[in-house]
Amino acid sequence: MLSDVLVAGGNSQVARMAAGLQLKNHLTSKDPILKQQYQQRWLALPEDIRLYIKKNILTAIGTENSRPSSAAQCVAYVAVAELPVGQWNDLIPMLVENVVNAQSTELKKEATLEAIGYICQEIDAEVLTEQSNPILTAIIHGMRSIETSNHVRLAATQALLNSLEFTKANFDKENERNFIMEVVCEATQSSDMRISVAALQCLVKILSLYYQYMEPYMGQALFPITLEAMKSDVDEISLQGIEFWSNVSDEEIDLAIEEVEAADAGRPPARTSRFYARGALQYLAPVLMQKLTKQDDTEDELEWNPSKAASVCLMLLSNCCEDEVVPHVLPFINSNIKNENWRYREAALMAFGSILGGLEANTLKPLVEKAMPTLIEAMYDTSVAVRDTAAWTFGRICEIVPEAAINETYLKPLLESLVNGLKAEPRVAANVCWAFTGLAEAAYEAADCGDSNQPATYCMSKYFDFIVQRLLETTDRQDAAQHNLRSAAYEALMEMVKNSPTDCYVTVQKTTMVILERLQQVLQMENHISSQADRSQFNDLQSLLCATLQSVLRKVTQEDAPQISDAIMTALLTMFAGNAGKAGGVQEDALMAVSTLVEVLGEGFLKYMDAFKRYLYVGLKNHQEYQVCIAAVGLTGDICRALKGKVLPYCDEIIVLLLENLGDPSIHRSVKPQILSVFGDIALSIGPDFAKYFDVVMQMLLQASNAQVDRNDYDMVEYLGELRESVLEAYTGIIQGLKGSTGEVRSDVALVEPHVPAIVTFMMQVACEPERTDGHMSVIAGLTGDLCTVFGQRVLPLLETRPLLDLLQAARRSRTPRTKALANWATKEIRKLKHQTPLTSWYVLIKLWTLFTSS
Amino acid sequence: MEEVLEKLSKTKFDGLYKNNERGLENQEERRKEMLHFQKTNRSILTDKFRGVLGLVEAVEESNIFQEERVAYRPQIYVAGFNRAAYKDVLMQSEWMVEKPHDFHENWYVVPCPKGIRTLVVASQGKTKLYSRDGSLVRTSQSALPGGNPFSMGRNSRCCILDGFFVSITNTVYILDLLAWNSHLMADGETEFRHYWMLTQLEENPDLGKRTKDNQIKFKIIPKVPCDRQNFQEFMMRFPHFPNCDPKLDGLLFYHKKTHYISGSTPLVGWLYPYMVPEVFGKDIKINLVYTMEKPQNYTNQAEFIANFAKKKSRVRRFDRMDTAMLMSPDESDEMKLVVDTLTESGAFDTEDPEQGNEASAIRMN
Repeated sequence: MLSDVLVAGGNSQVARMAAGLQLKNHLTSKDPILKQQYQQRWLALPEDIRLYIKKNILTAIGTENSRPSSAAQCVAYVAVAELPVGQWNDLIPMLVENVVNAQSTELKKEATLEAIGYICQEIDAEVLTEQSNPILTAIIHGMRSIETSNHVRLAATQALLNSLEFTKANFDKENERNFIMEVVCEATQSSDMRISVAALQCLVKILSLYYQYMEPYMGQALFPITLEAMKSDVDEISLQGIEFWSNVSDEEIDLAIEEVEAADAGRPPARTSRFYARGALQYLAPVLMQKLTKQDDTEDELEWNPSKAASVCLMLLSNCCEDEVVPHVLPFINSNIKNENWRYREAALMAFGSILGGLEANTLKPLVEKAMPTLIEAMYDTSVAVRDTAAWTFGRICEIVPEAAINETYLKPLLESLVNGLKAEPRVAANVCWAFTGLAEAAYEAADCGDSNQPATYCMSKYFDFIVQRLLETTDRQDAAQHNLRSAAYEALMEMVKNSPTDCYVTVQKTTMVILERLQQVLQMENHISSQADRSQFNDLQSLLCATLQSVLRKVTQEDAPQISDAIMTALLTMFAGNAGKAGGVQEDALMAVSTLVEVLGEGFLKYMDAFKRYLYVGLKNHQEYQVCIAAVGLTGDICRALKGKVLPYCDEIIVLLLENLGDPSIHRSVKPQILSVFGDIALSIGPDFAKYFDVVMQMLLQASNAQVDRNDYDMVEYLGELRESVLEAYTGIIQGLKGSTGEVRSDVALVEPHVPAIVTFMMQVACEPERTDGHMSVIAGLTGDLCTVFGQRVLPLLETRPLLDLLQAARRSRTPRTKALANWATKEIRKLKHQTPLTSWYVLIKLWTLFTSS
Repeated sequence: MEEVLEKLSKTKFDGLYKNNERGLENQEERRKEMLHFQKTNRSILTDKFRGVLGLVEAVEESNIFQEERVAYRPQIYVAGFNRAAYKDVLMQSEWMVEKPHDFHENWYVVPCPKGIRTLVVASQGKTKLYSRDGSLVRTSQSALPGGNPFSMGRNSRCCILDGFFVSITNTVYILDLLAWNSHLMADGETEFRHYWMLTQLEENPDLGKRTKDNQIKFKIIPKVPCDRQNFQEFMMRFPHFPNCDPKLDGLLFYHKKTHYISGSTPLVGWLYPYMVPEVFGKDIKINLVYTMEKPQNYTNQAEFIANFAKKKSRVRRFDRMDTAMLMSPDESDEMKLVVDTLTESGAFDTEDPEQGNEASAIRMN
């Protein structure tokens, strides 16, 4: 009925549009689950009704007076529901006909192309690949410059943008590719700005999808077109030109990495770079630097403009072309860093900060050291934009060439200027905080650890307390919600604490108390929160405080920990109990804070277990927010390690929850490996008491070891690797747990014996995988040694197989110390068994014989 | 369609602007760190149960082989990654301390000129020479396929050679071949690689001359089979290079069947000529000139090698990159001490029980 309203030309524009929209809203939704439901619902309608509606909406195409066409959307969303299940097969040909037919009106062509565009965007690429030829034909037809209507050309160009992924087959054929490129390049020259922007967007996407085909077009067409676009005064056009070259640089950086990896592996790379960025560099650089000076006057941080785009492009170009960038950029920097106009000063600084990442160490160090005084001066510049960028630049320097930042000559004035910046506008202060983050790490890395695992002092020791106080003040600023200042300040605080030497411990202690106080204060405010905005800020604050708590707890000594643990645990329990405790982000951070506390207290955590356990279980039950679940699972492992046997009373409930998680198919896959590893942790801590869970856990492990994935999906292959490693870790924990930690092997471990053949088979399977990792090698080596020590000679024939022996050989040469050590140990254990006299095998006899006869 | 335009007109790189992506990264970092701590604690506990915790810690402390892989990201990028690409590619020799049992059947001897050991990479229209640690020594052009801007298909063809570069004469003395015309040669045997090099140089005589396109002269160092007659002849010959130009540095011994292996391998041995009789038998006569080159305080090979290592390690101790080089062709004192301690504690066995190949056959006496 709605479709009748839509199709009837007599009805008012508004009514038709409303009808169309309503119809569309019955067919699709932004929520993927709802969308699927709607699609099922549509398909469930009787065929004749659907035919009727489809006929109507198709007829409506081209008859509306309003833009965009609602009929197009309806057609598209019906298609998205029907095409994947093999229905409405005549749609595409009909749409194509609409476009190519010379009799079609402008409106008809435009609406049809819009429909095609929506379909391409929404539907799975595979569904359309067979139809890619007619679709492409229609699109190109609509894009041609002889098409008079700009509306049609625009709709066509946008449709092309959406179709680029599944028209790969067409791009593979030289003739078709040439034709497509020609039409697109032509469209970039359109006088209609929207068409040329859309065409440029097509070029950008084509480049990232089909880089290897671009050579014939680059010099003659792509380069001049995009360079001109970059220079344009129309922001939208300029942005696309810049985006093109950012993509080129990004692509070529990737290709360079591939080349290195291939050289390492001793094989030629799969794809090679054409070094377009390098070739275009000298032309791009001046344009980019000009654009840097076109900063936005307002503080709107969300707005993407050519100045920002230019800085990112310069950064990517620099990483791509390395030192070659210097001669094109340095003169600009030098001549403008003290320019009268703030735009030029800021642009010079921005350029400087952007190219740092690509320079060779020998070029970089002297450059930065020479620039330090000027940069420090810039922190006091009259223009806020200059100060903002100066602070950001220091952050870059700390990451990339930290020696220059902590250099004795400049450290004090640098720190003064930064601390001063903490009081400035939020955008400046935020960048200053990130700079402190880098500085903390740089200073710590440079300090000498001597014999202990922590340095006694470092270059910022005498300023430490002062800096920490200022950072704490910054977190308290009224305007700290702007530009993420609050979180930047807390992050800086965390890094300072994390990277603190022994002589700063007193400040760390003080800071712990301050954080605790703040946490308590914040929790009291719970009931005064009214608005949604306030609530989310409140939650963020709790998260940040928990995260900061984690970093201070890691530094607290074993003696000090028990003194503050009561207060901390009370605060955390209050947090879990409160409303914020329901928010996923807060839960995760709070659980991680408990993890850290557990690590520090060890068995001393036991007294909190009864009060805390329900929150652990809540976390384990959180199937939806998988990061919370993972934090809870990890915490379970930490608790097992800390409490050891004393965790037994809680194991029944924990195991049930873990098994429930494994049984839930909707749970995120990354939770599974964590759970399996924790089974091993539990076994290690309760030993023989694990027997009652043994059967059900072994079943889970067996199931997991048989898991398969699509080998073409790299992410899934990686996941399978993690899953397998965790299965082996679990086996390890169970065997070790049942065997016991004293020298003697307990009889409980006999439970495992019937499973040994399956375990070893699994080990061999993993050993044979081409994607085998060093982690796999070390867990298999360890397990091999364990099987030897526990089961003795009868397990030897199972272990002495080619895959395992080869693995041990490779593992003995591993660069990871633990892998190497475990492999050598396992080899020694195998050999010990072979030389045991009671069971002298023929093999041993023959070996002895050979030795005697050859000497 | 409007929303489509909105979404697409934004860049995909806005996270890279200044500190835009910072907040998200840090939460990820915290999670990764937590997982890392948990995994480490799990490992420590397991090893305690096994009774091998002490062993693992000992190996960790002694691990001089730790190499840091540079994490490569657009924001935090350490320049000069190319160095890592070409480092440790060359096949390095070990001291030849005993005569292999198949010496006369399966080995070549190669005279090495005094020059910089270099990896020659010809591709993308340039010929670049890299030193052992991966740093770029020279960029030039040559008649190698892919090695000069005008060579046909320079973007797809690539050659990689191993040789000695003598800068005064701008000559590379080719030792070995890793890839030719984008075909990997490294997985062929020495005999084959050598034959291929000879053929290619015969077909491209320009490679031996200085021309407009070929700015580096290439000469192949002969590989002489070590059967008794040839070896004796070789050791009596002087000089190996016309007019002692370039000077002879030492001798490399190549196993005929080895593939090109990166890093040090027992299938390539190194000696100074005056050490030959000591290792291969006093019945082999060497030219008087070589005997005279013996250093005054030379006692025997073992002591020489130990002193050689000490000298090398003193000079380069502070340069982390070169510790990898230290391991070939000799072992430093430090490493020796560690290995000894660990061997005593029964950690390692000096024999690799799984080695059925020739390498171990050669090492066992």
